[in-house]
Amino acid sequence: MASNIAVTELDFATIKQNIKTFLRGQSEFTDFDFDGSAISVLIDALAYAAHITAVQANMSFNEIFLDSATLRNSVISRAKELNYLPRSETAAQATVNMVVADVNDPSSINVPKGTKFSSTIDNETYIFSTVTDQVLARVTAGNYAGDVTVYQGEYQQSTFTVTSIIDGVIQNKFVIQDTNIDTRFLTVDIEDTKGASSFSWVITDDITDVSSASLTFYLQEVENEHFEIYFGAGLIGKQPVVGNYITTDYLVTAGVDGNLVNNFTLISTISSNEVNYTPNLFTVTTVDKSFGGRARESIAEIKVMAPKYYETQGRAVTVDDYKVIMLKQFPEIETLSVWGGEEEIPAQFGKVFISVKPIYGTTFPPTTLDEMEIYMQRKNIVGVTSEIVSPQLIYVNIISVVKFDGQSTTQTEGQIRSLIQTTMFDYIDNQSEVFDQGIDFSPTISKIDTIHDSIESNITAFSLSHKFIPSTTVNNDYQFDYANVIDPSSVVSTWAGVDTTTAWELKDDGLGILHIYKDGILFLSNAGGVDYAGGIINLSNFLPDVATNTTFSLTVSPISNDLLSRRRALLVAGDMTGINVYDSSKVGGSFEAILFNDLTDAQKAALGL
Amino acid sequence: MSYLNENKKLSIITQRLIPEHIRFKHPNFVAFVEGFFKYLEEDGNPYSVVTNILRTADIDKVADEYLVYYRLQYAASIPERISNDFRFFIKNVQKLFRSRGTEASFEFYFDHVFSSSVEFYYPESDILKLSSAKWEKSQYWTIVQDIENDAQYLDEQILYVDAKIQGDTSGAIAFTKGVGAFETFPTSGVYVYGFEIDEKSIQGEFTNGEDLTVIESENTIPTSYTHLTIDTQYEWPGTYPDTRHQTSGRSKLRDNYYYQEFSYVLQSPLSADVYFPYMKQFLHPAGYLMFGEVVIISEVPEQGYGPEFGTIIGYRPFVYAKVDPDPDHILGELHASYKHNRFIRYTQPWDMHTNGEAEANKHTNTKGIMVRYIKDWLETPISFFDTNSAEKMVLTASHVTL
Repeated sequence: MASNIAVTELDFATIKQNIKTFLRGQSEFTDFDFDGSAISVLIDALAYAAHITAVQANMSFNEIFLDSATLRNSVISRAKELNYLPRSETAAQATVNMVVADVNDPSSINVPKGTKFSSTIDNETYIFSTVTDQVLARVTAGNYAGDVTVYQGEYQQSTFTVTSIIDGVIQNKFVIQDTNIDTRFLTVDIEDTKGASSFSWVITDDITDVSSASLTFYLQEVENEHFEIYFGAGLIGKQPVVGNYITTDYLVTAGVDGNLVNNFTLISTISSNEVNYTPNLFTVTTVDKSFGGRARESIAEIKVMAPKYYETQGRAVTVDDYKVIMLKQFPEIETLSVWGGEEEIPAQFGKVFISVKPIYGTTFPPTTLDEMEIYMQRKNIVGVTSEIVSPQLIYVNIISVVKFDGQSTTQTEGQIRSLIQTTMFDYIDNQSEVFDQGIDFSPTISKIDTIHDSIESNITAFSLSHKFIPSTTVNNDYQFDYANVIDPSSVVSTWAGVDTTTAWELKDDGLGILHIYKDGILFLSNAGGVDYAGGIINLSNFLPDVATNTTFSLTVSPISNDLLSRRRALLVAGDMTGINVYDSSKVGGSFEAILFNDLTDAQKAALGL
Repeated sequence: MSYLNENKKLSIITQRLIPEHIRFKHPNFVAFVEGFFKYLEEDGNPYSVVTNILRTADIDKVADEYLVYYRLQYAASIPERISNDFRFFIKNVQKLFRSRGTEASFEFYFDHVFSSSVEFYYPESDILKLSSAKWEKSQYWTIVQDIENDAQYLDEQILYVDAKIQGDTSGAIAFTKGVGAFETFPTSGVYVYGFEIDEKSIQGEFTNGEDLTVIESENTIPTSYTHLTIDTQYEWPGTYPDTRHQTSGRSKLRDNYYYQEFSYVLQSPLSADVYFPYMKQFLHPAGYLMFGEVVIISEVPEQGYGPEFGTIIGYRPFVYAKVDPDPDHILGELHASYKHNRFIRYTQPWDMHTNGEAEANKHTNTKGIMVRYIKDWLETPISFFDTNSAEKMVLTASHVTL
């Protein structure tokens, strides 16, 4: 990105000197003493004037371009030239389950748009609302239940009466009073006159399907973070006439503050089937805590996104197009990965895969994923299909032996170990959970050394794990992408049998074949394969002898110290229990000798010992 | 030095700005103020910058050093080296964005970024597909030209390929597919040629002996070439125009890699390493598989013959082929139908030698020739017809030695 533009000198002293130098160069001033008291005062005054003008000139010049502009209003104006509408505040969403009984036994119970729920986090109370009508299904006679999606915020209204401005020009633009609105839920209804029948007008950002009679409106951000609706002036959309009464409904939200809420209390009375259901009749439980809340788009974000969005022209062709269009349309996405089917393993031509991660979460609800898929089908090339897939989490484990000087601290060995484990979990957590972003090894080991003053050195390695719950009734195939080259003979998974006494182990033979061992004896050869270079493990017909819903961890050592991420693989912080410490002031003997006493074989192998 | 327009300068109106009594009493002060204004008007100084700021908002007037800001705003992902005329490019870049993924966008990008060219090949077009055979039925007409009324005989048969012809008497209409050469000199003063007519295109009923008029053609046909008369209409049995439908033909089985519906090949003189990263980022449709092929383009004169051009980096850009056709058909002269494919139009007839061999001098009337299509040609049979028997024969690679 280019830096701000310096079009003229801004330093006062230099300006003053420049004035003197310039005047000395003029024939009529060659014999002037510019350092004399009177003329010096005069030059000071002129230099101040020049300085102020120079500042204004620089400001004005910089605000012309998107890349150099610093004022939000200027950036917004430049973004308008690119047909880019910056993201508004984005309400966090959560899913709650509602249960209610009604002896009248209606076929279903409707939870209307605007139904409110109260919740508290960090002693702050937040209101969540439904943004559409939702239905509780009849489970058994007189009993109703269903999942309901709620968004943080309360509905507010701004109303306007269309007036004539001057010379018969009809008012066409209306500024919404509230600033913290989530524009995704903005609706506009217009009545011929106040109290008459209303018609819903729909928002559009694509004028190709709009006629002069279309009931459409447009939205843009204006000064001071307000949004403004405007109409097509009877050319690209119908123009409201004088006297029309406009009602705008929108959700006012706290944005990012509404995340991670997991307790909800219904506070609205629900009217359905001509019956009023008071809040106390409902049982509300949290299905998904709130996520996806986001602040309005920052100046820096707009500078990046607006040109990219302009390049898409609303068409998803390249991988970057998909990314930009998805991020623009679904602000609740924190990070995403897009790859063509030609890069999928095995290749699936004619497909584009999109993996998305929400803010404060790792997966979206299936309904949201379906909504994304449907939206992208309208944007991509005919013949190409989009498939939204959930991220595949790769847990990053740290295996480390840390040497510290116990005499230089009052902390115990256990406290130091716990401190390192907690700190490194947070460190990896902050480095990860972004698609296509790896973790570098060198800063990681440096980080360990700086956690506590008593730490002297460390020997460290990464390992990577996939976690999954295999079927215990059906032979299934599983594929795991580690996104990194796998060290041969490093694949391992252990589990206890149903009888809890049998020790099972899955290992590779270093030649790309997986074998299963029972109590240390080969039980099943060729249980799958390992593509070491490709970083892929395939389990074939896997049916373990294990209790139902047992989570498996399949761990490998990467060959490279630095970790990579790709496609749907998302690195996340994993197991830190492999971090061990020893007190160099108490323990004698060599470093390596001590390690061999404390580490498992797998840990030793990972550390190259 | 100032680039300010004179009528925008403060220094020239200083005298008017200052009251007369001050000008009279304090001429030095007036001169001083005037000097200060001149300083402000210097290029790069505040007044000059403010006054010229509107020029900055006009891409045709903005200084070159600020063009980068236009690129960052309107074409951030385009390489800096794009186009010699960057201002023109920016003004038209939206059209490029809207056409991304199309052949036109690739051609534009190659032209403006790499100063090169690109052609396209879709392997899907060569995949063996069941029931994909085309059945064509043609007619062969002998056409008489009375040279006593023409300034030139019909030695530019190529001009009549893909022409729309109409019978002057019958009013019937048809399209020509190919035109035979002029080997026949049957009677004094009259030349006879062979026209291959697409039977599907015939509307109405032509009669032998009626004159023909070319009413549409991609080529400009000299008026002196127009005295054509149908001699005889022969009807050929139907045939397959190519071997695409045959397992022994040139078609390929789907391999889920190169030969599949979502692959395309960029054929350019450039190495794929040069343009692949840009294509992937900017033009390549996700879900498709992109390949690159280096093509060698050689500028050749029109009347060249194969051997004298030798080879280009191991490839022979021309084929000088000796043909040993089926002896049963060497009764009269062989007339080669003009051959069309994506890049080459063979303009020369086959010459019959007295020893019974025919020599094929194939070259193009375009300036470039791509070696891979020579190979295509050898894999694609060429139709001949025998003017004596009016039978069609097919010349395949088995008849040709290079």
